[in-house]
Amino acid sequence: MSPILFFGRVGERLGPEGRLELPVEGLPVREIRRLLAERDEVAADALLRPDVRASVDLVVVGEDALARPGQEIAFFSLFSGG
Amino acid sequence: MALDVRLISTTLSAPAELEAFLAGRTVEGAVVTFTGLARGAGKDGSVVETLTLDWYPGMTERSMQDIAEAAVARFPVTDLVVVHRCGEIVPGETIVFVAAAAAHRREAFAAADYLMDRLKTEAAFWKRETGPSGTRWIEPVDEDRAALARWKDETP
Repeated sequence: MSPILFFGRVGERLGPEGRLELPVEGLPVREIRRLLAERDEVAADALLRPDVRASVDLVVVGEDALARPGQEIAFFSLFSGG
Repeated sequence: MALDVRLISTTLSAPAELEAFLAGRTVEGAVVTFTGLARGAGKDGSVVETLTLDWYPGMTERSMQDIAEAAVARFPVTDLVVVHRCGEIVPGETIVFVAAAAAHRREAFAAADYLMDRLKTEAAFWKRETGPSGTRWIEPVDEDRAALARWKDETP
């Protein structure tokens, strides 16, 4: 199971970390988001928002980006800035 | 050229940072600093007891570094320091300290201004204010976005 990190409003709703089984060939961010959101209404409400972005290995990516097991995947709300 | 970018979870002392930044400096004619403090009231006047800055280890530091490097590329500054707090902060404590050294004051003012406009909107932080009425998330407002937009069309 690969850890999926959550920050900001997403972390507030879902906790700091979730887990998901990723195939060795990886999954696009869009699919990871969908699979996590399928789990329950809270997850769907937290993740299925256009302003919730994703990153793979600390780089903010689009929905088509592929994430493989061993990579660090995160979902988060808009940055507040400092 | 020295670029010093730090994310810290302990107290940030602006006087100590300034003293270190000024020490031994004999070449530049200008040092401009900005010190950001945690306010005891929200934008609507409500009491703020604590400000919490959540961060993503690795990503937050990288976002600060990218912004500082962009400032160095854009303005003829000789040294920059950016120190940012994370975690829980109480009103009156320093959240951020920025210093820019340059041959002349205008470049130093511009670099510090640019750094703060970008840090306020683009740095990877998630900010919450907590007071007697609960907790609320803080996100960039139109004023912050307008400040950032100034740099899109201007040349230094």
